Amino acid sequence: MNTVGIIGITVFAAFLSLLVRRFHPEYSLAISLLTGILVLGLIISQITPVISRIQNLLESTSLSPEYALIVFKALGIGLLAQLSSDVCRDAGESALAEKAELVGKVSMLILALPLFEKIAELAVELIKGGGAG
Amino acid sequence: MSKHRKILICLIILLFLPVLGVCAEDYITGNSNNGGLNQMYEEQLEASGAGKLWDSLPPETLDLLNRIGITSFEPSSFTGLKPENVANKLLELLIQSSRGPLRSTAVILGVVLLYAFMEGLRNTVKEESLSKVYGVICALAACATLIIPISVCIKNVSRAADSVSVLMISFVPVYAGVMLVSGQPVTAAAYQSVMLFAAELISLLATKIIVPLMIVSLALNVVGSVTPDMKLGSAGGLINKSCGWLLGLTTTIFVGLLSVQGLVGAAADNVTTKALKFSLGAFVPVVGGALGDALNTIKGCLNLLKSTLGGFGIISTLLIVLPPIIECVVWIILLSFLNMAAEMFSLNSVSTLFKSAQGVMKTLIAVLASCSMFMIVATTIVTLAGGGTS
Repeated sequence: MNTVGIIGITVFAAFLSLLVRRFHPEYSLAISLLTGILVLGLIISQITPVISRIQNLLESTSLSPEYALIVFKALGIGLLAQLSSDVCRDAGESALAEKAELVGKVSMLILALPLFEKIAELAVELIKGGGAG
Repeated sequence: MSKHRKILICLIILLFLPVLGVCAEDYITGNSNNGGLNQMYEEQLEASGAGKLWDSLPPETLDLLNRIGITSFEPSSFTGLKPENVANKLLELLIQSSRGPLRSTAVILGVVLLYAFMEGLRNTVKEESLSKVYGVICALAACATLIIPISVCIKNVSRAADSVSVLMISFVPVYAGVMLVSGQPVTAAAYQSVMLFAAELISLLATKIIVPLMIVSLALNVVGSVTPDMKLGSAGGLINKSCGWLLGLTTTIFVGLLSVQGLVGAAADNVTTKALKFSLGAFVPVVGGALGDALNTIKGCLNLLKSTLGGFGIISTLLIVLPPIIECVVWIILLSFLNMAAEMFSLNSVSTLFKSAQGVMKTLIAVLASCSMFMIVATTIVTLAGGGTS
């Protein structure tokens, strides 16, 4: 990961945003949003090999790699929701920021539904197995 | 003339009766026939229906019995058991039973490390509400990973408890039948009634109450580990303790009842047997003594069959419950190791889950120990009470 490059981009974007904020506040917002998306994209591109390696590790065992995938997807959703929420707050739209967080939470819960289902299935299977002997 | 003929016939019969008695005794003791005793044992074995007991055993137990050298109801199969052979087979069983939990532990340890990594990433989601939801998802993933191997272990325990119950239901009537004909009618009646009731009760308790309660306890602990604010761990602990008490109390009551009935029944049976021998000696002229000895021989043969059957019942029960008990013990040790790893990374929720899973494993061991100890202790009491070792 080109850490120095990414840090440089964020510092430069912050400086640029500060410069244009006095004359064109809407540009400042656009700059921070675009920088956020760019940095997030760079981080995700760097993390992808790690995720695939963990998936391979789980595939080699008897466990389903689905769980790790859910955890990583939830992390992505959380980061995106936080980014949009921060942008909304910067724009002074706290109501919209909360909506963005709500969308993030609901999306994460929907994503985790297979996990809930799996645990519920296991419980039902165990109770049936225990009952039938 | 006819009167003289009658007297002559009576004299001839009286002359030959002792010879007939001796011939019968010789047949029984095998003096005239080499396979006399063996033949009698085989006939008694076949008549008791013990041969069908093999069908009541699960295939894994049959395989274990074969491996330690018990392939038939021959007394030599039991007396010829070599300690080193049994120890080797038990070691093999230990290695075989540990393989699955060890593999699962390696995977769970990987998941613990992954979870620790996730916890680190969780801090990147600064928003508290989002972070909480993400934490729940992480904990759920870890729980799902742990529950799968533990659920397999719970299933094995449930299956073993059920197998012990099936063996008891098949074994008790056969064993009680042998006890009845070997002169222990009172003990046989007590043994059959208590054991069959207990077999049903233990099966019901183990498969319909305790194992589902263990699952509820595990589920409560899973929920508790996902939501630490709810403190559900103590509820799971209460369920575990209640199950332990329930099992302990049931086993103690039934073993106590059977011990008292066995002691009193043995005395009553002893009186009956002695009265029968006295009657034979006192009221049957000439051959009374020989018949009494023949009765002793038959009783000795039946006692041998009873002891062999008792040994079969005890060893089979042990071999049914031993693999899941070993698996549970290995799990307890490995869960301690996993708990240590989780505490090292400050993963409190997963650490609580490991501790509660240990509690569930301990209760499962108690279930199997109760099922097996009841059968073993009860069978030993009645075998020894009736002089089964004679």
